[in-house]
Amino acid sequence: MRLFKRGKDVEAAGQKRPWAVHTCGRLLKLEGAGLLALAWLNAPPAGPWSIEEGWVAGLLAVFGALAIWAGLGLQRMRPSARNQATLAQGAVLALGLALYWGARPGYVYGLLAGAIFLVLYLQHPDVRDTFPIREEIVGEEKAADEAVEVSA
Amino acid sequence: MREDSAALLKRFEPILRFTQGEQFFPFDVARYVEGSSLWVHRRGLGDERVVDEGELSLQNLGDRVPQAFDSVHYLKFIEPLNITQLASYRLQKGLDRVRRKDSFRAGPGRLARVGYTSRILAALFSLTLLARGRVPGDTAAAAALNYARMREEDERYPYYGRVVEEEGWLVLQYWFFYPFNNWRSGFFGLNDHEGDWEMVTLYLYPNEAGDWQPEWVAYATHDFEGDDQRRRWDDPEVERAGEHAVVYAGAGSHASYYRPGEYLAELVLPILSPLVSLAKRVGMLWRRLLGEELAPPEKGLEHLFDVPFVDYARGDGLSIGPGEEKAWEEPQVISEAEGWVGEFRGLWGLWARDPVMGENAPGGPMYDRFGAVRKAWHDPVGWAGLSKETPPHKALDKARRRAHSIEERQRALRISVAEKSRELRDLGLEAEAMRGQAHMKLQYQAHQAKIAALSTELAESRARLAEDAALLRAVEGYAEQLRRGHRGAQRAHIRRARLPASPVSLRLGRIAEAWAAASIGLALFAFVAIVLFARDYLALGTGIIVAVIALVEAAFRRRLNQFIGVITGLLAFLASAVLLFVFFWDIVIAVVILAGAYILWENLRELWS
Repeated sequence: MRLFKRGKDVEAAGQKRPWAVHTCGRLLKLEGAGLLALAWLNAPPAGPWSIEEGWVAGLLAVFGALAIWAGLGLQRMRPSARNQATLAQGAVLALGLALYWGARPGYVYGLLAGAIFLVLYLQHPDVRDTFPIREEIVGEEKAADEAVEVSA
Repeated sequence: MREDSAALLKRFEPILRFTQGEQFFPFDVARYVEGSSLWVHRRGLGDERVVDEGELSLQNLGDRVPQAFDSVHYLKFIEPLNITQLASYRLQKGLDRVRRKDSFRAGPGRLARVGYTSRILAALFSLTLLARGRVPGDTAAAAALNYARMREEDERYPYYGRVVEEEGWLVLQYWFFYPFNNWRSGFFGLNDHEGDWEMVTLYLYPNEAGDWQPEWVAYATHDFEGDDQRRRWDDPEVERAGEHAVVYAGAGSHASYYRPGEYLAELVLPILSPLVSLAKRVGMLWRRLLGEELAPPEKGLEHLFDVPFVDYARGDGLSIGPGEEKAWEEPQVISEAEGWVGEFRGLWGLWARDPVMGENAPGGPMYDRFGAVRKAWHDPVGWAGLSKETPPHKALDKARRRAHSIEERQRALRISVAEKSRELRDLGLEAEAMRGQAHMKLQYQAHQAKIAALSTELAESRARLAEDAALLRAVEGYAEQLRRGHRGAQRAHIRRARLPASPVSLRLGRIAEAWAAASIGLALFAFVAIVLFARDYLALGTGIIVAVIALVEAAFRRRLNQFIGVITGLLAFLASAVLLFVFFWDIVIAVVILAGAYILWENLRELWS
C-alpha cells in the first residue's frame, strides 16, 4: 500500500513543475504564515523579552520563516528546497513535542498535525523525484558502483 | 599416482601475497609438532600434559589416545613469556616501528568506516573478551619470537596438497599451515589463536587435447560458502600468473581473497538478532509505505548492529610462489592415510576455553574443532557449490541426453493426456445420460467426483506438458550454445561477492578518524558526568549526547540530508503517536465518517451514472 500515487505528468513533463510540488510549496508557505502568526500571539506583551518568555515565540518565528523560504524554494525549483522543507518540519515537530511535554498549549496539536501532513506530503513521488536527496557519492558506495561494473 | 599428484600440485600451485607487517607465513607441520606438547582438557579435571615437548612427531601424533566424552586434546606450541621478555619484545617492536618502513600501518581504521552503533557494539565485543576465554596477550609475542627464530634457522615455505577425483572433476586442494593467527593482537581483528589452517582449491577437467584445464577456483574465507566462494578461472576477479592463481592473504587472519584490498568483515552478535530482525521490518515498512529506501540495501537498517573488523589483504608484503620473491618447497601430498591427518582429531594449538570458539585453535585439514570431518574434505565439490555443475568436457553430451530424456517424458505424457482426455469425455457422457434419473443419484454423484479428480489431473498433465516444452527449448538452446563454445555468464552463480572497501572518504579525514576513535568513550564520560552532576536532566542530557554524536557523524560522512530525513521521520512517527493517544476516539469517529461518506459517494455515483 502506498500513500501516494505517482502523477502521470511528472514523467512526461521532465523539468516542468508538477502540481504536487506547487501544492506542497503553497502548503509550506501557509504553514510558515501560521507559525509567524503564532509567534506574534505568543510574544510577551511589553518590555524587553526575557529568554524564558520569548523562546517559544522566537523559535516559531524562525521556523515560520524557514518554512516560507522552503516553500518559495520548492515553487522556484531550488534543488535544496526539499531538504530545507524537511529540516523545517523536523524543527517544528521537535518544538511541538517539547511544548506537548511542557506547557501543552492548545495550538500544539494543530502544529503537530500540520507538520506530520507536510512530512508525508514531502514524500509524494512527484516531489521526491523532482528534488532527490543528493549526497556526495563516497567511499563504499563508490566501491559498490565499481562492483556492479565488475559484475557486468 | 603420488608422483602425478605432486607434479599436478606443483604445476598449478598458487601464489600467496601477504600484507606488509605480516609475521607468520606457511610453516612446516613436522617442526611445529616436534616443538609442541600434547595436552588434554577434561571437564572438571582441568588440563593435563599427555606428551612432552620433543617427544611428539608427525608419526606418533595420530596414535590413538583414549578420548573421553567432553575432553579436548590440543597441541601447545607456545610457552608464555615472562614479564621481562614481554617488555623487551614490546620495546623492540616499538623501535622497529619507528625505524623500519615495512611495518604495518592500519590507515583509516575500522571504526572510521562504520557508524556509531557498530562502534558501540565493537566496544562491547572487546569488553566480552575480558569475560570469555582468550589467547593470553603475551602468547602472540612469544609466537612471533619463536617463529622468527625458527624461520631464521631454516627458511622454508611448505604447503600440503590433496588430489581427489570426484563427480568428473579433478580437485587440487592446497592446505597452508600457519603457527599463529594474530589478527586481533596484530591487526585490530576479531580473534587470535594458535595454529591456523587455510585452503585454496582448484577444480580441473581434461580439455580436448587431454590436458588438465582449471575451470573453477575456490578460496576459503570468513563466512562465505558454496557458490559465493568460487570463481571461474576466466573471471577477471581471479588474478593469474600463467597457471598459478594469485591469493591475497589477510594480515594475521590469513583468510584468502581474490583481489588486494581492505575487506570489512562483519560479525552479528547472536544476542542482537531480535533487534536485527526488528530493524529489517522497520526498513521494509518504510519502503512499502513511502516507496523510499531508508538506506541502500548493503547499508540497510539491519547492518546497524554489525560489529566491524577490517581484514587487510593488501598484497604489498612478502610474496610466495613460482617466480615470486620466495618459492614453495616441493609439494607434500596428504591423504587420510597419514596418521596426523586421518587420526589426530585434536586442536592444532591452544584450547583457550572460548565458548564462541574464535580464540580456540582450529582442527587439522581433515577435521573441524569438534573432531567432525570438514565438508571441504569429505565433499570438496559440494563445498564450493559445484555438485550441480557439470564439468565442461561432459556438459554438451549431458545437455543432449537431458533434452532426449525430456522428449521421452513428453511422449509418455502426451499418451497419458490423450487417455485421460478420452476417459474424461466418457465419464462426462455417462454423467449427462444419468441426469434426471432419480434412482441413479448416488452413481451420478460418484461420477461427478471422478470427473472433478480427473479434470484436475488432466489440467496438471497439460500444464506439465507446456512446462516441458519450454524446458526442452531452453535445454536445446543451451546445448547449441555449448556446441558453439559459449560458456555462459562467469559470475551468474554469485549472490554475494566480497569486494575490497574503497578508500574511506571522510570530510576532514584526520579529525573524523580521531572522532571515530574517541566519540564513544567521550560519550560515556559525558553520560557519567550527567549522572553525577545533573541527574534531573538525565533523559534530556542523554538525548542531547546521542543527537550530537549522530549529527557530527552524519556531517563527517556527508550524510547530513539523509540524517535530517530520518530524524524528521522518527519525530513525525512520535508526534503521530501523541495525536493518536490524545485524540483516539475523535480520530476513530473521523475515520468512520470519512469511510461512510466515501462509500455513500461511490454508491450514489454508480446509481446516477
